[in-house]
Amino acid sequence: MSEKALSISPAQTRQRERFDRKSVAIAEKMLRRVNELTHRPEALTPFLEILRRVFVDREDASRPHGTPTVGTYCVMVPPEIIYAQGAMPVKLCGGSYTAFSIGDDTAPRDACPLVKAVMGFEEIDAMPVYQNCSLMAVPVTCDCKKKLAGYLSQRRPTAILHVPANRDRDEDMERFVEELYAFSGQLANITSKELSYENLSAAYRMMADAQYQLSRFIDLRRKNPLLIRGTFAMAVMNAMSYTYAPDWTKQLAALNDELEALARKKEMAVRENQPRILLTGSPVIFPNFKLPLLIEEMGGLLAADETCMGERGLYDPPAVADHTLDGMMRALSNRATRPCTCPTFADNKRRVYRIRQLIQDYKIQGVVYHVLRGCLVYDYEYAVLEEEMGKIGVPIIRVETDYNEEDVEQLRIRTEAFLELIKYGGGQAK
Amino acid sequence: MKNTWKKRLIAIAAALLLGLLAYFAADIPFYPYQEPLERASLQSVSDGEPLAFTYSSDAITLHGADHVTVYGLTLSGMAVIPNGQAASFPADSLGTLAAVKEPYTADTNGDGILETVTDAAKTDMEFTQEYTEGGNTFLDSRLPFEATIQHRSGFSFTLYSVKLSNAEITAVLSDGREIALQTDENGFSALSLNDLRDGVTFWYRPDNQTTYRLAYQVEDNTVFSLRWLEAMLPFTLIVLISLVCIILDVLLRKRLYQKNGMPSGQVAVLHREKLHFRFRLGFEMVRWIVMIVSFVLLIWGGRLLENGLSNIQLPVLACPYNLDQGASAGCYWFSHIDALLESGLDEILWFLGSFAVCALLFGRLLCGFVCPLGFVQDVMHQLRQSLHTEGVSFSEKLYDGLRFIKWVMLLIFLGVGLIGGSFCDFCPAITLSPALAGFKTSIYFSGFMMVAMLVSGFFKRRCFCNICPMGYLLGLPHKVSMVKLKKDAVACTECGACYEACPMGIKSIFTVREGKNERAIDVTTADCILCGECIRRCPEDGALYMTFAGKKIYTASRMKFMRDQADGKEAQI
Amino acid sequence: MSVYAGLDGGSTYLKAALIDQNGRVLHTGVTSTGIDNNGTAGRLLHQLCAEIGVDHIDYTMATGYSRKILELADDDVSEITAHAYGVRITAPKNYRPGLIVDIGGQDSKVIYLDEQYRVKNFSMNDKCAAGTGKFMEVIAQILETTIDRVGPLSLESTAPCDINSTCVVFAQSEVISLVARKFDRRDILAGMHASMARRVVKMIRKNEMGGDILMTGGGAMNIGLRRAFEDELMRDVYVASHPQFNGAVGAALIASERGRQ
Repeated sequence: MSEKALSISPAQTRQRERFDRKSVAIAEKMLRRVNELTHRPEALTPFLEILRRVFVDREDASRPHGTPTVGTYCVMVPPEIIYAQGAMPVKLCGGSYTAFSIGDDTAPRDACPLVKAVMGFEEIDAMPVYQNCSLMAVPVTCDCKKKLAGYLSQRRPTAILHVPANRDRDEDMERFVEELYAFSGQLANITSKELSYENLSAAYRMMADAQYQLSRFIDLRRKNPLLIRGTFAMAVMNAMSYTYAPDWTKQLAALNDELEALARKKEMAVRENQPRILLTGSPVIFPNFKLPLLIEEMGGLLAADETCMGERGLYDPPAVADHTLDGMMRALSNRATRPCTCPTFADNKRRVYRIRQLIQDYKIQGVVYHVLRGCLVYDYEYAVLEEEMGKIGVPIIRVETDYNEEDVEQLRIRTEAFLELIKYGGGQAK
Repeated sequence: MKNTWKKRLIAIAAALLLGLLAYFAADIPFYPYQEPLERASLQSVSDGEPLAFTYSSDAITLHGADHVTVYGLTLSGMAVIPNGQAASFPADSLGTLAAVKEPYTADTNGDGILETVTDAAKTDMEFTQEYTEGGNTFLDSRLPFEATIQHRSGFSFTLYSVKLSNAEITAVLSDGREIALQTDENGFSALSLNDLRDGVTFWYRPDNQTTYRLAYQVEDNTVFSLRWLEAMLPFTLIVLISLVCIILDVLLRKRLYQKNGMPSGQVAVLHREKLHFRFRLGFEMVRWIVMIVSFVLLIWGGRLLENGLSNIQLPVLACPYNLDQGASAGCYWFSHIDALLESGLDEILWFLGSFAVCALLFGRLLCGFVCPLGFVQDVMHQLRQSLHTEGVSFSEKLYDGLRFIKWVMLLIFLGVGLIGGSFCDFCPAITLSPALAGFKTSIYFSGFMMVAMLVSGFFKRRCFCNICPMGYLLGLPHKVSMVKLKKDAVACTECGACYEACPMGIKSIFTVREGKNERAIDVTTADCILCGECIRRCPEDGALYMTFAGKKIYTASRMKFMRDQADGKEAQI
Repeated sequence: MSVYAGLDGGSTYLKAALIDQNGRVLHTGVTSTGIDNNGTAGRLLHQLCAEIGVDHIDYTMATGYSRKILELADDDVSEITAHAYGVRITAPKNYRPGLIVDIGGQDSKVIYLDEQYRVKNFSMNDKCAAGTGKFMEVIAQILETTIDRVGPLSLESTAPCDINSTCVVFAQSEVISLVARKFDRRDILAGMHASMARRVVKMIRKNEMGGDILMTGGGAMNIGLRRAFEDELMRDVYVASHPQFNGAVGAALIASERGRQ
């Protein structure tokens, strides 16, 4: 492991102990609040267990023996390539307040809390899921990610992927194919396994199983928008970051089966008149489950989300049109760039269409737009969304927050007022 | 500035090159056969057999040749062939031969009454099977009783040059069956060209003392025989050359044009992927079935079904040089507009009518489902997919280049016939269809085009269809056609899978967002061959769908997509 | 007659309102909250009922800071909704909904309404005291006057001071230094009101605003603040009747809707 573990001073030990205590306390509190929500399906337990294992027990992600892990910092890094070359991806975007306070010293005041948390994890060196990564893969999307890439590359092997600023021209997408090939080369240095048609198609198959189960999940929710609380769905998707894909698929299959049974018996999680909310914007990363918990504790239903640590984490499938190695790489590059609704792209009109489709599919009555303090790109798009929601008559509220707990009361009153706004007739989705 | 001029120069050069190749196509030989009149020969033998002509490859034998005079039909009329032997035939010969015995007396029908028997035999060589009026009729008193095949299943009978109607004639087929026929003003049509290829003997007894016998044989292009192999030679050559080119490209890929970091061309034949082929009657399966059936019918349909739909002019590149086609190919008239205008109102109306009906009813569905060249290209593509060999992916720029060539091809298609060239010697279809049906057709520049089509079709799906002029003409009236490709712009996530899958490189499918009804935007273009690949690769429910007369016939489905991916079935057909 | 009660529990003051089934305000009352919210509320309601001679309340709705702890309420609702309902009764006749600017004791709110008085959107400043009654209290104390005098005094100003501080605590120091430099306290007050108005107006998004502007809350009783708003926005500003009780009245109105169901 690292030399740091050997030369650690007593002061650092105490810092680490405090970190452990505080971060474990927050994670446990969040898990307890999730567990306390009504209508929690039995099959949710394994997912919460994973979150507990990583954030409370501070273990590494469980995977087949001898598989190295690759830390990824974005949905744009295709898990297929990583699995194909014998490693396992772990999505390490940080959601921890404790880590964020440590990273606050290094990062600028106005930087986003996600990056601060990652830097904090790096500094404190107390989370195995971070420490044990053999390679970090950072797509350069926003400014903060760019500087994070630089910061990480100083400390451990890092693969930097250049994401095109736009994806209208064919050349932009094709340049990303080259980035993926370069990334594959760097992976081969870590795992000593080159990419081939066989192993990539096997990895494709693995992820396709996962996406199939997720599609079942989505389909169940579309047909019965009140079937399961969105906070639980967020837990499922967040757990995916630290789970070996086939295991996650199995767990999700069990959850789908349970939900199917519930749907048949028409046992819904909430009553008909509870406002159905769509959460969109900056990612909601465990343990920062403030917003989803608030929405559901205040009497709303988080019916759908459009965030990258939520449903979008595995929504788009790679569509292979050419069954060769290059064809599969192209499909991965396509999937990472073209349908991606990340606001780091210059033109992101497709996000509006996606949200409109979600509103129709889940009969959404109100949109909560989540902006992390410092996340300018999402903030930019608020104005666009506001206008579009105005056109279709769906109320939308902008909630800006970061990882600390101090603004919970203010968030609470805003959430409550927004839900009442919908209940008392202000909002009807067309 | 300099870049545009460079592009323009390249474009003009390419256009000129293509134009010249098209114009001089008939002078660039690939595999020319000897002229049929030069390679045929005639031998008369007195072997005691009934008087009849038979064929053995290009050698014609007249059996029972005692007391027989042999004639040939030439441009200047009936001419005697001395001794009934000929090593080859003169250039003005029309390919029809007759042999007449000196009349004798015999009782041929067993009624006890002797009759005067005029015994004759007639034959038409393969290349006369086009049957233009009068091209294979003697109408001479030296051959008193004559039968002439006028189209695939129409005969006329003449006695001393007078058409026989209301006459009873017995036909004896090669297997011994006897058929009694009654003629009307037009002759009759109970037999067809296929029967003639096996040899038919006609007996006409106007009264019980006169008998006319005529053994009629048409040169057969027997499929699946040694003769067939001869006809298949050019195509086999093309396939071999294409294979060599493909293998060379795969091996030399990295050195030729591969970018850094890309894997070199691979052929993963040895990898242990289970070949699970489950028959599921979806759109894709239906399309393959229709393609195979069309391929068979368009090439051997006339032979299989006795009579084809010869009036219907299907606007696909199916090659009219194959006279055994199931339906005619309209491409001939498009590329020989001057001949069309001279062929009479009837023909013109059938042509225009067929085109209108096909375009309105099916549009370029014919390209995706019916055209035999399309089938061949899809086979090449499937071959590459099964071998998992790297292909060439086209970007917008290359597609633009192809579209430019398409305009040039369109010009050539419609125009080269008017300035003295012939598109048929440039078009690749001529190498495929006639040969498979057994017709020995000389191949000129088309052979090289076919090699290009096979090789390019291997590395890029349906490459030729991108430049096909016939297809583009069919696609022009797509706005009023019954088949349409539609898109739900809100459900679409702009993932670009449709664009990647589209063999025609139509980007607008995924970029278009505005329309009168954004849930049902018409995204059919004149290039779209309605193959349905885009819908198959679309992972969003209802984002893309195909309609026929307003009804959805194929819709994108997320669960179906996911199931296929999870089962690994999208790798198969 | 049905009687409906609304309770607005702030951290300093607890306000109550009683209305009848026609939406007519029967009585209003205010008292200090103290530490026993429930006790205070109970006594206040009792007192109000006695003063107008009713013996029962059909439905009670609570709002405000302590809404969830008031056990004698049948249900609770957020202040935003309560204020929006309140102005249906307390707004002047010719008010077109509109915008509500609520200057409360410890926060300020801006509520956007559609033509049917339904909440379209809202914005709150509850992090900083810069636009609240608390701020005014502090300044009034420094200038040795009372909260109900600051408004009229500020209107007598001839040359308002510029107050530059963005923060209340610094503004406090700034005011003290202005007093030391012998500035007239009326000018200082005018400057304070202008500064407050600016702070709140920053929260308003003009393009979302349709209709008229209405002030509620304790701050609405401050004539000087109202004038400052009108100056800053360059248009007329309405004031609700019973501005201090707007929240309670609104809660009572919601109670009446619930009670009728």
